[in-house]
Amino acid sequence: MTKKAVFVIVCWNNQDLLEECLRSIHNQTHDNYKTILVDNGSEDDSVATARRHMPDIDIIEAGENLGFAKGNNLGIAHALKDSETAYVALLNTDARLEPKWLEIVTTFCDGKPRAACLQGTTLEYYNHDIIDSTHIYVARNSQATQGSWRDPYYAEIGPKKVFGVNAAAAVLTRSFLEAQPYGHEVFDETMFMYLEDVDLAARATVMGWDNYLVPGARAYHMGSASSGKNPGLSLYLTFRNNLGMVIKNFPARTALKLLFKMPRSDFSTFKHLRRQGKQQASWKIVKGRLAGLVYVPVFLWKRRRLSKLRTIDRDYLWQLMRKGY
Amino acid sequence: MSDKITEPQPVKTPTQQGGGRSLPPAKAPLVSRLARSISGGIHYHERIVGAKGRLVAAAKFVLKPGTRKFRVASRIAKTLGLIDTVAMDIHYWEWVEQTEPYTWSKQKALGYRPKISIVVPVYNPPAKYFLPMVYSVVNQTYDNWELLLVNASTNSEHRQQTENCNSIDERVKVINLSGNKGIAGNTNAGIKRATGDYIGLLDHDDLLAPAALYEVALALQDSRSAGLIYSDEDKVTASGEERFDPHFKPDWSPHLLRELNYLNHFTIIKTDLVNKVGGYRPGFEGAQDYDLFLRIIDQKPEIIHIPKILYHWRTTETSTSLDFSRKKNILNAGIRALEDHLERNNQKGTVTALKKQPGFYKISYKSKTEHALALIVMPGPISEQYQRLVETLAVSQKGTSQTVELFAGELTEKPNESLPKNVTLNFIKKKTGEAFIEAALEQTQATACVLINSGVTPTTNGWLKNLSSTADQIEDAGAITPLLTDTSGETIFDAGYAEHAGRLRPIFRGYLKGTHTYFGNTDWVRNLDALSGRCVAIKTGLLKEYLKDNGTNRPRLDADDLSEYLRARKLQPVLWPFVRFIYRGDMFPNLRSTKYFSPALTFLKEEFNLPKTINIPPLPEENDD
Repeated sequence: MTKKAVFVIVCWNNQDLLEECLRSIHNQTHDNYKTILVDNGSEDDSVATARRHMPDIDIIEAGENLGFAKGNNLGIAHALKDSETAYVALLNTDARLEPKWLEIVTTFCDGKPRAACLQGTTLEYYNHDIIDSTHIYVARNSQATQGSWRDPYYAEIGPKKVFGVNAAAAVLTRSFLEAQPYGHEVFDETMFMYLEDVDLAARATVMGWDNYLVPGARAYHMGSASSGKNPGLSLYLTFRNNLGMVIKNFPARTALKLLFKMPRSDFSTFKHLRRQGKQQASWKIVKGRLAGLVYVPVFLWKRRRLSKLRTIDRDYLWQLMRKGY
Repeated sequence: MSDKITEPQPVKTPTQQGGGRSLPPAKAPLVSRLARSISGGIHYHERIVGAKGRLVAAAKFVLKPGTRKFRVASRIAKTLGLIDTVAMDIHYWEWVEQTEPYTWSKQKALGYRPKISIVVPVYNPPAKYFLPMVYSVVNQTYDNWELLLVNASTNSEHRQQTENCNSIDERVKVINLSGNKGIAGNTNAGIKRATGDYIGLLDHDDLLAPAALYEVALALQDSRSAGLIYSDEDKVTASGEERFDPHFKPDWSPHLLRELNYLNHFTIIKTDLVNKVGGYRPGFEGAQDYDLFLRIIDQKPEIIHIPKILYHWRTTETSTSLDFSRKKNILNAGIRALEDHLERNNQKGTVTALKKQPGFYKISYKSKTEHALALIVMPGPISEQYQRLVETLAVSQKGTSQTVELFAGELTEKPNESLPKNVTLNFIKKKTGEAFIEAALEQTQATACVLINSGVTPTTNGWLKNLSSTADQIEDAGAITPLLTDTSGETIFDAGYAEHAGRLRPIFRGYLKGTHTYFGNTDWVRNLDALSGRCVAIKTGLLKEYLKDNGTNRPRLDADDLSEYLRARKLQPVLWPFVRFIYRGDMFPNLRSTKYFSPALTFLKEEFNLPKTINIPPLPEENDD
C-alpha cells in the first residue's frame, strides 16, 4: 500500500499553464495522490480550467493575491488535515513532471527518517538537455543560488544530500512539516515571494534535517512564469528577503561572515546589471536592501524561535555552503 | 609511461634538419601529460582578486609576512574576498576536472549485487570531518551497503553526534561501545556486527568518491570469489576543498607491500576471509591495517585492483603530527607485523624501519647457506669498468669472512688492485654469453649468484651479500635487479621494465632517485614485468633450468627472454633499490649520434640545473633501450 502524497499548486492567472501541469500529475505512476489548487485571486479562467482538467481537484479560493508563501501554507495546512497524507508535493504551475517522478522520490524517502525536502533533477522546459536546478543553497557570499543552473545534463546526478531544494517541483515529508517551529507558517509570509524556499531550505539544514537530490526523478520547469513579467520586482524582493533570510536562520558567526560579504557581492551584481544595460533594475538592488533593513527587527524576532532548534555544526554548514552539497 | 603521442606539427629547428628527429609537441593529450609530469608538486597560489591588487601588495610590503599582524591582516583580506589562496596541484586538478567523470563507469544494472558493510571506528572526530564522511557513504550511487559507526568516542558531544546518525538512513547503524578499546578492538566490534558479503574500511574523517561502491560491485561482477579489492586514492585538504597527491597503485606488487602498506585505502575484504584470520589483532596499533592485510595476503586470496581514485584521505593537523613516542610504537608494530609475515612464508630476514620515514621498512634477508657468494661478470670490452668493480669488491668485502667466487672472462691485463684474500678469481676461457654463464654455474655451489654486465659499478656497501641473500630467500620473485643510476648517482637509468600498451618500457628513467611521483616514490621496491639484464641476482638452480630450457648459446644473456620465462613460471622479478649501481654507459646513447647535438634540446635537467617544475618530456620511441 503506497503512501499518500498531496500535490499543492499555487496559481495566479496561469490558466494557459494549468492543463499540462495537471496532466503531468494525472500521469504519475504512484497513484495514491490528491491535488489541491490554491487560487490567489485569479482574474482569468484558472479555476474553471483546473476543474475541467481534473474534476476531483480540491480548490481553495483565496480571493486575493496572498503571495507564494501564504498560498502554499494554506495548501499545506489543508493537505495535512488528512491524517493519511505522508508527503506534500509542491508544484509550480509552469513545472511538469515525468510519470515516474513521484514514485521515485517517495521510494527514496523510505528508510530515511530525517528526510525533509527532496527534489529530482529539474530540467529546462524548452531544452531538456539543460538543467534548471538540482538544488538551491546560500553561497558563501550570501547570495541564494540555484545549483547547476544552466549546466548541461549529460549524466544522472545524485543521490546527494543538499543544502535545500527548489520548490518548483519538490516533496516535503510529513514529519518535517509537523516539526516546524512556526506552526502553519512553513514558508515565511513576510517574504511575499522569492527566497521563501531558500529560507525553508536553510531552516531544514540548520535544524539538522536532510534535504536530498534524488537521481532518476526528472521535472521540467519554465522558470518564473508568473513574475517573469516584472523582473524589477523580482530583484527588489530577492534582495529584500535575502537579508532577512540570513539573519533569521544562520548561526551567529556564519551570519556575520555572510553579512560581511554582502556589500561586495551586491556591488558586483549591480555592476553586472549596469553592464547589461539594465539601469533601472540595478537600482532595485539598493532599494531592496534598504527595504530589507526595515524588516530586520521582524526577522530578528523570528530568529529567537528557531535558535533553540539549531543543531548543525557551524563548520559543517560552511562546507555545505560551498557548492550546496 | 607515456601514451602514443600524435605529433601534429613537429617543430624542426635549423640544427636538427640533418638529424631528422623532431622535438616533442608542445601540447600532448591530457592523460599523457599527467603521466609525464609524474612528480607534480603542490603549488601555493595567491591570486589577488580585482582592482585592489596594489593595495594588497602595499600591505604586504608594510607588514612583514610571517608576523601575527600579517596573518590577521591576510585573514581579514581573505574574508573580504581580496585574496584567494589556493593550494593545488595544477596537473592533477586538470586531470580530475577533465577525465575523472569519464573514467567512472556509466551506471548499469548489475547482475551480482553484493552487500558491502563499511566499518568506521569513530573516535572523537570533529563534526566538520565526520558528517561529510557519513554523507559520502549515504550519497553512494550503489545502494546495497550498510554503514557501521562504532561509537567509541569518549566525549559526550561526539557520542551524541554519532548517535544522531541513526536517523539519517536505516542502513546507517551505530554501535555504541562502553569504552574505547583501541582502534583494533573498536573495528573488530564493528566487523562482528557486519552483515555484508564484503567489508570496507573507512576512517572517520575521510571521504569516499560517489561512485566508489558501484565500481567495487562492478569489479566483482566477473570475479565473485575475489578476496581483496583495493583502489587508488588521493589526499584532500582539511577543508575538503582541494584534492592533491594521488597515488596510482600497481595491480599487484607483493614485494612493494613488504616495504610499506601501499594497499592502504580503499580496501574491501571478503567478510569470511576477515573472520577466518580473526580480524584485527590488538597490540598492533598504528600498523593494524598493515598487519591485517599481510595476514589476509597469506591466505592467497584473489586480488583485484581498481585503477580509479575512489578514496580521499583527509590531511588534518591531528593525523600528520605524531609525537615521537607514538611513532616508536607504530614503527614497532609494523616491524612485528612484517616479521610475522615473513615467518608465515618461511622466509628469514630482519626487518628495520627506514630512518625518517615512518611506515617504510627494509628487510635484510638472510642467505640460506653459509656458502660462498658467486659473482659472475660477463666478459666485456671495457676493462676500466672491471677495474672499478674489483676495487669496490675489495672495499666492500674487506673485513667479511665470506668467500666470494668471482667468475670472469679472460683478461688482457691483471687488475691493479690485488683482490682480498677471500675472493677467488676463476677465469673461464674461450667462452662468451650463455656458454660462459653455464660454465660458471657448473663450477659453483652457491645457491644464488649475481650476474653483472660490464659497465656497472656498485655503490652500496655489502651489495653482493645483500643481493645474493635476497635472491635466495624470495623465491616467488625469481630474479632481482638493483637500481641503476647515471654517473652522478642521482638520476635513475634503469629500474626495470613495465609493460604498457603492448611494449616494455623502462620505468622512471631520467627521474631523480627518491622523487615522490603520482605512482609512488621512485626508489620503492617493486615487482616488475621485465629486467634489463645489466645486473641480475638469481638463484643458480633457476638460472641453470632457464639455460637448459631456453638456452640457445646466445652471445649475451637475453633479459627479455629470461623475464618471459620467469613470468611463465609465475615468478615476478623484483626491483631492489636498496642496492644501487652506477651505469657508466651513455644514458641516452642515440641522442649523441648527430654532430649537431646540443644537450639543451633534450632537457637533461641534471646537467643544466633547470628548476624542478620543468618536466622531462618522454623520449621518442627508438630510445627505449
